[in-house]
Amino acid sequence: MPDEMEEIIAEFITESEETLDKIDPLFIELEANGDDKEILNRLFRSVHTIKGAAGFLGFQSMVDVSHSAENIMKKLREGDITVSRRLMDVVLKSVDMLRLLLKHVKDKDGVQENTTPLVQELNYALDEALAASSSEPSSLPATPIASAEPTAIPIERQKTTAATMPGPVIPAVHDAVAAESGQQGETAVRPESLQTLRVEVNKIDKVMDLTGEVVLVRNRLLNIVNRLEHQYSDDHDVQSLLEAVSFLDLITSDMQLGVMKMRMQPIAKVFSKFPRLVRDLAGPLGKYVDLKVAGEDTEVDKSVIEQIGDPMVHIIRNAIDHGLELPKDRVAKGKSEKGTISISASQRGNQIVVEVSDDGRGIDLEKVKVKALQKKLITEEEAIRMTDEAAINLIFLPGFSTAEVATELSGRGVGMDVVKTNISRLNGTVEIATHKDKGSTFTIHIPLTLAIIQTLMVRSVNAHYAIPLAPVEETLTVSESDISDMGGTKALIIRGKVYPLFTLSSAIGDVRDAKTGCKYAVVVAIGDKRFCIGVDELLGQEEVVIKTVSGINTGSSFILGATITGDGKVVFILDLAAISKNAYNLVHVS
Amino acid sequence: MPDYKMKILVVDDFSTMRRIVKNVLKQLGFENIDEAEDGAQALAKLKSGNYGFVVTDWNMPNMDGLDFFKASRAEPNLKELPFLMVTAEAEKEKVILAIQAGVNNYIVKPFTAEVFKEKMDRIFEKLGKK
Repeated sequence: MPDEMEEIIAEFITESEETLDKIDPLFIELEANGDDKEILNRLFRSVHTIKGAAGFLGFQSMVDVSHSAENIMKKLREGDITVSRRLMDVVLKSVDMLRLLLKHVKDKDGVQENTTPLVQELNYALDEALAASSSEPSSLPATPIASAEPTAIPIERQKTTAATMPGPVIPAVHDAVAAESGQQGETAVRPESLQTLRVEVNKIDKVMDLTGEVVLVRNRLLNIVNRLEHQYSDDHDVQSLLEAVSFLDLITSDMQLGVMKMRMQPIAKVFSKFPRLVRDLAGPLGKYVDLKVAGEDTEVDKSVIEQIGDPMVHIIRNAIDHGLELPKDRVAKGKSEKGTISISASQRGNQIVVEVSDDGRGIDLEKVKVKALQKKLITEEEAIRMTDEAAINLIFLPGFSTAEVATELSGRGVGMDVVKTNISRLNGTVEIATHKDKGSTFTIHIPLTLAIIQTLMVRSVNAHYAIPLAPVEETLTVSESDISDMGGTKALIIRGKVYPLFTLSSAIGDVRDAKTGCKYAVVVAIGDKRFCIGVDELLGQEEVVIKTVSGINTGSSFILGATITGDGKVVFILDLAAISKNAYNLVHVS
Repeated sequence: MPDYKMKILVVDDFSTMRRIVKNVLKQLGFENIDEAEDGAQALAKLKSGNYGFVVTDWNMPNMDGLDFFKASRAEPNLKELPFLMVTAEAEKEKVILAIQAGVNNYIVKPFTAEVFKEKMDRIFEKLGKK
């Protein structure tokens, strides 16, 4: 039985975490809408359910915390007390505590949290609310006026307890009686709910991995069959083989897609944390923020779910901290007192697009430049010549942070460079558009899947490389005379625009053959930077499966990973973002 | 004595809880166990299948345990089906409500396999006497 027990506990952790994630935004909604019965019911039920299961598994501290939180929910539901910021603060604290307790169980670290103070706080808050509502049955807010906290929450919905005290039970009975005739017909037609199965991620990853291998074998087969067909186009067996392989090709693509979908989850999993974040951040700053969320059903890969959270938190943090103005400043500018932050996700072709925008003051580019100068991230000359696009991107440089004072929010010792790094890790890009007093928009593009990418196969000297196709804009044939020398840096002039040109070997620091000539140029766009990579040969487009290479630190090399090509060769996949960074450093040096 | 081959429906919106209850039932020797996520789903299942016993949670979305019980009792062929109601704590008003509605018995979370067996035996004892 111990295995069974362990499985039950694992399931309990996952399910409870999911439940908590789902109810988190409900609290915020509740705070905004006052006493919404349906929301209160859902909250109560969720906390109640976790308590029940925790009791079976002997997690007493979880039972204690959820029991006290549940008591508050119950009194709210029954209309004995009303929603207030103070109550929500302690209830949210208990949600956090439950998360922490779950984490200890998950990590098996044996840490015992002392939940007594929190339980006391919860009980005290409830008593206080009960006392307040019984002594003041009028519509006055129950919050003490001396409280230093900004209380922007509508409390006027407070009920006169005597008039509306039927309790939740009687209407439920009526419903049930009424339901007997009507609802039964309805439930019979109700579609069978989707059957789901919990599968461990590593099992799916194993299938994903194997699918990757199948893709590689398929690529090799396609290669061989193509050659055979050229040589023995009349051979009947070769034709049959060709047929079989094309069929395999199709199935493999479907299989890839199928496995990919297994790993996909709605981005709501990430988005659901933001209402709480916005609430907690805006409150202490005295700012009012309206959070608009769209496209939370968009499905993205599990790794995107795991990694996009931090960068988004950072962008939102910055928007609240620096972007949105104080209510009085907004009013002075003729804007509404309440700022708006909009978050959206959508799928466009093979890409997921995530946008975070605010209607705040916008990014002051001059200030950004001055800051970058102070921090010696750029030179004065660069600051003058810099395009607006380039200036915005300065905020992504490591060591750049516009926070004058390390506030509680931005004081985690990480800057916006984390945003860029995390998103590059997902092979994604981030762009910023900003307008003075209108606000800023961060647009993140991420490929749908991370394991399989389209690449351009090239040869430089005598090694083959795979260049991710997404940032490639075009390829050109170049001759020696096309290459101009711009003060020590090679460049190509394409349709009147100057693009720096680096040979692939110099860009990745391959010193064995630091030649400068090349026959083809691959034009690449990374963020706002466009440059050309010179190669000796273009070998064609190939879909490759990224395999990580142990021993290579992908953070500090120009290698994203490796793959096995159709003809069985191991080829490195280049990390264009890292190459771009390095290449521009080379320009500065020269 | 309950029939160990009978089909039992476990109703709870929290899958961990369904698993715990199923585990208890298996410990007691029951094999034929089905599950439903809420009252509405459970009712649809009861109508189409031949069940001998129902263990249902009280607090559930869509249709809660008590409504589910009442709706089942309104069905001619489900009138006699024994129900064991699971509640989180011994809340007097709730227990009274459940008994008034005619629930065969109730059990308070967390419970052990022994307590569960006792409750179940009592239900079937009473049914046998009828």
